[in-house]
Amino acid sequence: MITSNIALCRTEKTLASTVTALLSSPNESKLSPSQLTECLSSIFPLVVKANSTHAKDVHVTTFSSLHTLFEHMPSNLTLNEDAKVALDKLLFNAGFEGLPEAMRMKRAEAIVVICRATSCMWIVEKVRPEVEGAERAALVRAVLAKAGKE
Amino acid sequence: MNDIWNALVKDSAATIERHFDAIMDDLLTSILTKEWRVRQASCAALSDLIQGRNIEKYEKYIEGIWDKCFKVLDDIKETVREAAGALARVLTGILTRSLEAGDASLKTANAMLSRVLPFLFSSSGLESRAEEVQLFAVHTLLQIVKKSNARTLNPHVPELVERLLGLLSSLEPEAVNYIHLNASKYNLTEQKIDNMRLQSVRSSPLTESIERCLDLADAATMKELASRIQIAMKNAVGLPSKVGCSRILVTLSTRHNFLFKPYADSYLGLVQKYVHDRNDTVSSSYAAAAGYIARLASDKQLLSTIAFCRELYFGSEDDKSRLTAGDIILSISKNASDRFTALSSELLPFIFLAKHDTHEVVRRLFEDTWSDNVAGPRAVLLYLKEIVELASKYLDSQKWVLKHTAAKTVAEAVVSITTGSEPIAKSNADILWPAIDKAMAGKTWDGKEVVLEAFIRFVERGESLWEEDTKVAKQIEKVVIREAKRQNKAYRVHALRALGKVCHARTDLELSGIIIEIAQDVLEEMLANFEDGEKMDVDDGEPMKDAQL
Repeated sequence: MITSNIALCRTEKTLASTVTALLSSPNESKLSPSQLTECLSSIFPLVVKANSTHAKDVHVTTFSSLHTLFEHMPSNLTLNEDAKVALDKLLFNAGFEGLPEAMRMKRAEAIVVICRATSCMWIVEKVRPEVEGAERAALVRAVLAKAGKE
Repeated sequence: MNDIWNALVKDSAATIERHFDAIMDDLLTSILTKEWRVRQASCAALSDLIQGRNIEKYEKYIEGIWDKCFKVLDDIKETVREAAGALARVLTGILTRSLEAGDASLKTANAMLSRVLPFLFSSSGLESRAEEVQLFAVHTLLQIVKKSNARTLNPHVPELVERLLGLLSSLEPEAVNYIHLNASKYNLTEQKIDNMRLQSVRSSPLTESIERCLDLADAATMKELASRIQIAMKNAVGLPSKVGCSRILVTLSTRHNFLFKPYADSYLGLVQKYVHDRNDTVSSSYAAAAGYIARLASDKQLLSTIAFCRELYFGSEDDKSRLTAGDIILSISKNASDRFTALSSELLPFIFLAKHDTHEVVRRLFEDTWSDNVAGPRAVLLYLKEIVELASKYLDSQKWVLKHTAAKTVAEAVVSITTGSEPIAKSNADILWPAIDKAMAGKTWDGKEVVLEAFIRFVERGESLWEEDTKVAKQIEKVVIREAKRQNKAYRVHALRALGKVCHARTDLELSGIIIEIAQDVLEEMLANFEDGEKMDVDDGEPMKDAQL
């Protein structure tokens, strides 16, 4: 039982590390805009796969890594449909409501940075119900309200 | 009988004086006759005869009296033994009184001692098979040491010290050895028993006498004493004697350093032989003594001791040798701190390496030594070249312990010089790169993630090197990808995270293609495992292979 728990924990950590590696890998200065789009459309579905375990470690790493990734991305970044679908799955999940406030805050911060890219403005609309009250923590709501305004 | 004597002899004192030799000869013969009454009466008569008489009168008989007295101390008849005990007490009283008298009776005391001591040391005294005789001889010896002044005792100090050291073991109750051998039966450990034995040596009256002998020694005595201590060290068989020997080396180094200094080098060399003792307590005692002797030893001998410790650490297969090396170095650091500081460039790189040992106790010894002598992590910068050179030598070692220790050393060197936020200077990066690259080579092992973290730190802060040197830049890429592809499950967590960190640090790299490939394989395996708990219990990673090797 203990061995099994250790292995489970290790699997979650490996998935989290994989997410870190994947989301750290695109180098916007070395890729053309189309290559970058292509690259992200390959990476995001893999990150979605890793998140399919619903492990908290993986979710948190995903939010932090997306935050870091989009800080470097140009504002005119283009995402294709595959990437958008995957990103939607990464940021919007009914299960996230049950996450602790600190983790929801990480997600909110990631969303704010992602929304700097013009091709991600659809997220602002999607997040509006949360800003308007669906999110139960006032602090998180305040951060989410910044989406699309920075 | 008294009445007959009084009736026959008018002037008792004059008659005894006149026939003293004849009476003495007769008593010394009759003390060993068949009839117990005669033996008992002879003992009483001898006591009576010598009490209050000038030593010069019976000086020539003194050895004989002691000899016969010790023989009857072990008599078959109890009343004879009691009479012999009374005679022995008289003899001891005469001896100690003459010793206490000082210069006035120096000649007498010397005469007594030169006759009595050889006798006490002989098979009739200390080496007697009779316990009572042996105990009486010891008691007499202790009295002699306690009461004598320096001039009287000095000529006998070397032999006394040698004998007293031997006695520490021979007087230890046999039960102690039995309990030591069967410690577990009594819910004890050998170490606990050794600690008690050590305590007993410290508080023993024999130790007190040895220390008094040392206090009385002068330069001329020290020459003879030095060789006698060496003999005692060589002949010591029991723990108390061995610990006693190491203890007097400490006493000589601290309280008699002026006299002992000429012999310090030879003893520091000699200790190298005795630290190999099978018993950990003895080994540690000699190691501790080495630290004290180091205060007085020459630089050459001290360097030779340091070389010995290094050889002990790197050359031997067992943990005990590394432990001993740690003990010696810690003792030098604590007890000869000036000498340690003077030779710190020789010592600190070695200590820095050894403080990454895989054995917890060894590691703690070297960690303590390091923290006692170094202010902070930045001190590593001072000895960076020496540390890296030393560690590089053992990165290829056939011994896993040394190989892993060397790798961790290089890792901590990197971490230590990057505690601030500034980048690694090009000159330091040049020194570190070959070692950190080599440390990363080879299979994974338990703890390699520490080296990996340091490697990443090097990449993050070593821009000065990899920006200029394309070979280094390429090698970093190769290493980090190679590590991420490793199959060891515990290590892969760190390797994948490291890959992400390198991507952030190396803005000249675009690794998304290769990372996607690696991630696909990992995800496939991990998600399959996640659905099947059974598989997750199996971990046949590379440490297993390492262990098999």
